[in-house]
Formats: sequence, C-alpha cells, structure tokens
Amino acid sequence: MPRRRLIQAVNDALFEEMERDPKVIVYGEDVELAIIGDMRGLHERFGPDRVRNTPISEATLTGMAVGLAAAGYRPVLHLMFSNFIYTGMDAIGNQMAKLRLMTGGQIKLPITVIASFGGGACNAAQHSDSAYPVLMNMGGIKVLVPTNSADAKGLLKSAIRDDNPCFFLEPSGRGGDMGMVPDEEYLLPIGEAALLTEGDQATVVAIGRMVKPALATARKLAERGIAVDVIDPRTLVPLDEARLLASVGKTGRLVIVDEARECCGAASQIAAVVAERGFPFLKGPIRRVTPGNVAMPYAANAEAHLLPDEGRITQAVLELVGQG
Amino acid sequence: MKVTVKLPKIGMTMESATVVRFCKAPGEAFAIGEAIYEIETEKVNQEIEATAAGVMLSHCIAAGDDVDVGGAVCVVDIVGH
Repeated sequence: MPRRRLIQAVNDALFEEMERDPKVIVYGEDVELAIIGDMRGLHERFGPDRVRNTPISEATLTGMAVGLAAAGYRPVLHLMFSNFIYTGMDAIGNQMAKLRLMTGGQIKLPITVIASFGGGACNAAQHSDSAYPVLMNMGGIKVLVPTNSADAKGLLKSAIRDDNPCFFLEPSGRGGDMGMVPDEEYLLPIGEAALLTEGDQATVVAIGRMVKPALATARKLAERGIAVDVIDPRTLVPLDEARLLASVGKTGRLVIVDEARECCGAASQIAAVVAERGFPFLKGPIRRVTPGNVAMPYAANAEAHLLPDEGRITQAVLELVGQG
Repeated sequence: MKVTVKLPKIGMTMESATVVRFCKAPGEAFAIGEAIYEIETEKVNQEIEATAAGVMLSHCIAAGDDVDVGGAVCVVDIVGH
C-alpha cells in the first residue's frame, strides 16, 4: 500500500480517470502550472486539448462546466479557492443544481468542481472561507470534504464518474499530509461517514481540517478516561445520517466541530438532523464548535483565535460529560 | 566548519517533505550553487543548492525518508570557515 500525500492522491485520481475516459477534461485558472500541486504533470501528459488554463472569470468557468457536461464531456473545473464559488454562483445555483430536475433527468451533469477551503494559512478573508454551507442549501449538488489521502483519491474518482454536479473540497494547508492509499483501483462511495475513534462518552463530528484537532483532543481525553467517537462525515451532501444517529444513540452527547461559520453551517444542519431524529438519545444540549459569524482575518494570531482548536473542543466535551 | 543542513520551508503550507535522493555521497565535495539533495513536497520536486562550497560528511536520514521542516538532513564541512 503506497504512501501518498493528500495532494498527490488527488493528482493520482486525475491521472487515472483521464487515462480511463477521454471525455474527462480539466480546466481552470492555473491548471497548467498547478500552483496547488494537484494538477502536476497533467498538461504534459494530456496536452492542451484536455488540460487548459483559462482567464480569471469564474462566472464563465462555471457556465462552461454546465455546457460541457450537457454536451457529453465530464469536466473537472479547478476553482482554486472555495470563495470563488460565490463569484461563479449563477451557473452553480441556477443551472448545475437545477437542470437535471428541470429536464426530468434528460440532461446529465457529470461536473466535478475542485477547490481548497478553510483558513489557517493567512490567506485572508477572501480566500479562507469554508464555502460548503451555500452548496448544501442548493438541493442538487453533492459536497465532498475528504481529509486524508485514501478518501481524497476514492471520493474524487467517484465524483468524476457521478452524473451529478459534485464539489470536491480540499482542506487548505493539509495537502502535504501523508497517508496510505490502496494499491488497487479505489473508489469510495459518496455518502459514507468514517468512524475514526470509538468511545461511549460523547460523539465528536469533525469536518475537513477540523478532523486533526478533534483526533488530538480524543487522544488526550482518552488518557483522562473519557472515550469518544470521532466521526468524519467525508461527504456533507449526502450526509450519512444513519452513522451519526447510531453514534449519538450510543453516547447521548454530540459536539460538532466545523470550520464554516456558525449560522446555517454544516454543524447547524447536523445538529438539526440529530435534534429531530435523535432527541430521545440526548443527555444534554448539542454543542457546535465553530468560528463566529465574521470574516476570517489575515493575521495569524487573530485567525487562530477564531478557528476551533483542541482547547475549545475539549471544553465542549468536558462540559457535556459534567467535568467542565 | 561542521554544519547540520536543515530542511527549508519552501512553501507557505509546507510542514514536511520527502528527501528523494542525495546528490552527494559522504566524502564528496561540492561547489557553491551545486545541488546537494532533492526534496519532494506536495507541490514540487526541488533540488536544494549549497549556499557555500564544502564536503558532504554524512546523511542524517536515508533517501526516501520524510523530514519535518527544520529537521536535520545531512552534515557538511564548509570550506573556508
């Protein structure tokens, strides 16, 4: 089983899918030079007909994806930063999310949009958002948030083969994380959460970059005799509600760690699902650990103050188990 | 003068790298500007060049190993210091 960094696993998935299917094409603002690293070597291997740089115009790029997909291609659009979802929103909100339904399924839209998301790298407010809540609210778009090499490879390959629009969001700054990736062809079904550690005191659901501090917290809590389930949803649409409810059914306590802002974020949706369907299990209030409803600052110390960290996750769990 | 060469941070989010190969074996001399080892990060492969002339004394890790930013890669003897 080879060791691959997360970004390399994304690169491997793109190579494999482009080799497999000539209809898979890649374009975006910097896919030829591959500034993030995930597009390395694609332009040299597949040439300008299938890998192409574009002008800086996200409104055009997202529209192109709809047209390409409707015409039979399987476009992979690299948007660089998830903030640019806002810039390209008309084609996302009014076309990608709706055309399959409006045409009774006659138009397939096998679109994959790649973007990195989240703060922690001093990228400032306009490049640090975790912009998935707006996608989750569209009602016709799949949202993938892998956090390790194997999941990234498996989910991206599944996204490219999916006939619906999929947003594949890479956790910013975690591209160098090393992980094991299966030797054989590996596709991860979209919609399956992962249980990363097991315990019966509380359930900690962590999304994207928040998985790392959640796991570190779980290790330290375990040393104090407090064992928790840590769950990585891996995909936000569809959400693996059964896995979440099974865990809360065991623990009775839920902490959700989300890098998206508190108001109407992924944490809010998960809290609502568990409150509606898992209320009899709950021994205390559901706790969200998120940034406040403000823009992410540039300064590293201010950014660190806003982002959920081990201290805040620990405090939330301890309060729920009556030790806070 | 003996100097321990540490892994540089060449990308904003870089935390570690894989040392792909050493360009100089222990005992081999190098000139200023010559590549002494090559790293692979999530973004690039990059040869790391000597900032002074000297001799490679020892490798602190094996080719293929991962090193954190600031971690020891090799020990060199810098000429003229």
